[in-house]
Amino acid sequence: MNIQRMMQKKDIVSGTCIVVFSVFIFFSTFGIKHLTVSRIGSAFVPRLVAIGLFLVGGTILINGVRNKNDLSEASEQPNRPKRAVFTTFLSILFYVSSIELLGFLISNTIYLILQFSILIPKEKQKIPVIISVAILLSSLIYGIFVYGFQLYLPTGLLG
Amino acid sequence: MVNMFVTAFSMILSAKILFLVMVGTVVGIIFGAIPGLTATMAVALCLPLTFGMGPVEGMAILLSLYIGGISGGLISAILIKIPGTPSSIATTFDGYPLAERGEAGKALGVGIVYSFLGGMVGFITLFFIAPPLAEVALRFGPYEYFSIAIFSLTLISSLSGKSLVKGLASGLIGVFCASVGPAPIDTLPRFTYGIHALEGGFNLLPALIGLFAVSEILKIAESDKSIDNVQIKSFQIKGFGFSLKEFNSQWINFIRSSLIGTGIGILPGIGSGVSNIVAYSVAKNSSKNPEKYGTGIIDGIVASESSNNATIGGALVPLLTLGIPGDTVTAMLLGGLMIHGIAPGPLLFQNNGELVYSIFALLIVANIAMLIIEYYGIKLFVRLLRIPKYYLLPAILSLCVVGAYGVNNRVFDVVTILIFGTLGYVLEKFDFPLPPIILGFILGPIAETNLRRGLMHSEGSFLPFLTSPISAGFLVLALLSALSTARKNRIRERKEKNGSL
Repeated sequence: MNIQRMMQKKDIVSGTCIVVFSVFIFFSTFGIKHLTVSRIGSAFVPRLVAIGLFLVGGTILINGVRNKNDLSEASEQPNRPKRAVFTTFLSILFYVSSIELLGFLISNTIYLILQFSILIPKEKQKIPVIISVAILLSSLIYGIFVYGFQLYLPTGLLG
Repeated sequence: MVNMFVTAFSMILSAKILFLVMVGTVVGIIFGAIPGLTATMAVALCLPLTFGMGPVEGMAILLSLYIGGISGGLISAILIKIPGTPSSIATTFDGYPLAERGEAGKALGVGIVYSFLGGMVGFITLFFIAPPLAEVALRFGPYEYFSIAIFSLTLISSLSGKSLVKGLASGLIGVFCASVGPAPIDTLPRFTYGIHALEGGFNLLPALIGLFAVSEILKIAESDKSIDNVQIKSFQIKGFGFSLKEFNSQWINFIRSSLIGTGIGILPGIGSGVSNIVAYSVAKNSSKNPEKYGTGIIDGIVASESSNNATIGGALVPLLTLGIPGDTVTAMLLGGLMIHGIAPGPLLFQNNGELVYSIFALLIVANIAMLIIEYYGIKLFVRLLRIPKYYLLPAILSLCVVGAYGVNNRVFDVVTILIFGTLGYVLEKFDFPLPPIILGFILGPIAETNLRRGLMHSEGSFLPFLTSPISAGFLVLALLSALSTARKNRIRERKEKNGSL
C-alpha cells in the first residue's frame, strides 16, 4: 500500500509540474518569430509539443488524483533523496561553475576531494590518500588529454 | 562486396587500429562487467579520445567499446548475480545457479563463446541487409523521412517501461529540449530567453552524457555503499568449459535467439536490454523441459548471450542506412560519426563506401578481440570488480566533463551535462523512463525538418505525405503501433486492477 501511495503522490506532483511547464512553453512559443509564408513556421512543432505535454501531464495528474481517492489514509514514508545525492549535486555544481575560472586541474582536484569525502565511508577515509589520489588523477587525465590527444582544456588560474 | 571487404580489411589491419580495438574491447568489458557502468557510458567517456583521430580509428575504439560493453555484463551476472548491464539480466537466471554449483567456469565459457557467435550472426545480417536497404533509402525524400521518424517515435512505447503516458511525456521532453536553439530551415531562435549560450541549442553528446552518466552517478551516490562488498564466486576455467555434445545441442536455441536479438535490434528504440529477456522467454517456452530453466542450465545462458550480442548488428542497420539510432549506444555512435563530419544515412553507402565496409570489418575484428580478451583476461576483469565505486565514480565524472567540454570547447556543454544529469535523476525518481528522451531528442528535429521541407516542396499541401506509398506505409505502421500499444496498455491496466482487488 505504501508503494502505491507513494506512486500516486509522485503522479500528482509530476503531472502538475508537466502541466505548468507545458502552459509556460505554449505561451513562450508566441515569442518565436514567423518569417515564412507557410502556416507551418518555427513555432508549430514546439506548440504541438506543449499541447502534447499538457495532455499527458493532465492524464498523469488525473490518474494520480483518481487513484488517491480509492485509497484509505495510511502512513507513508516519502522517498527522500539521501544527503550524499544533494552534496554530490553541489560539488558537481561547484565544479561546473568554477572550471573556466580556476581551470580544469584545480577545479577537478577540488571536486575529486569533495566527492571522495562524500562517498568514502567515514571509517575508511584517509585525508592524505584522498588528496594524493585527487591530484594524481587530475594530473593524469589532464596529461593524457592535453598532451596525448591534443585536446584543449580550460587552464584558468594556471594559464 | 567482396572487393570492398578486402579493401576494408587492408585499411584496418594496422598495428594502430588493432591496438585501438584492443583498448576499446578491454575498457568496454570493464564497463560492462562493473554494475552501474554501461556500454553507453563507456562510449560517452571515450568519445573525446576520438576527436583527434580519423573516422576509421575513431570507430575502431567506439565499436570495440560497444561490443565489449554488451558482452562484459555476463561476468558479474554469473559471478555476483548482478547483471553488469541490462543486456545480461537473463544471464543471471541460469548463470548464477551454475556458479553456485561450482561450475562458474563453464557458465563463463558458454557466455563468452555464444556472445561471440551471436555477435557474428548479427553482423552477417547487417552486411546483407544494410547495403540493399540503403539503396532503397536513397529514393527517400522528406515525406518518407518524416513518416519514418513518426513511426520510430511511436516505438517510444516499447521504451516506456510500466507507464506509456510517462514514456510519451519523456519523449515530448526530449523533442522540446532539441527545439531549444536555432529552428530547422529558417534558424530562428527558440526558447533562448535572451541567454546567449542557449542560441546554439543543446548538443546531443553532453545531453547523453548527462542523462546516462551523471544521473547514474547521482543514483549510485544515493544507493547503499555495501555494493562494494560483493561476494564473488571462485572459478576455474579449462578450455571453454563445455563439451562438443553440449555445443551441438544448442544449435536451434542459438540460431533462434540470435535472430530474435538481430530483429529486436533493427527496430528503432529497442535494444539488448529487451532482447535477452525475450530470447530467454522464447527458449524457455519452446523447451521440452521449461522447469529446468532457472536452475542452472546452459540453454538459458546461450539464449541470453547470443541474443544480446546479435542486437548490436541489428541496431546498426537503422543507424547506418537511415541515420536513426536503434538504442542509446548507437545514439552515441551517431554523435561520434557527426564529430568527424559524417552523416549516417543512405548517402554514406554511396559517398563513403570504404568507411562503411571498414565499420563492417571492424565489427568482425572487435568481436574476435572480445572472444580472446574476455577469455584470457577473465581473472583480471574479475579483480576489477573489487575496485571501490567511491574512487571509480568521481573519476568517471571527471572524464564526463572532459568529454562534454571537448565537443565544442564551450563551458555551456559542461553545464549541459549537469542540467541533463539532474533532469534524468529527477525524472527517474518520478518513474519516467530516460531512453525516450533521447529518442525524442534525435527524432524530433528529423521529423520537424522533413515536415517543413516536405511542405515547402508541396507548397503547403499535406497530401503527398499520404500519397507517397512508402510514407503512407510508415504512417499506417505508426498508427497500428500506437493502437496496439494502447490496447496492450489497457489490458495490462485491467489485469493490474483485477490483481489488486
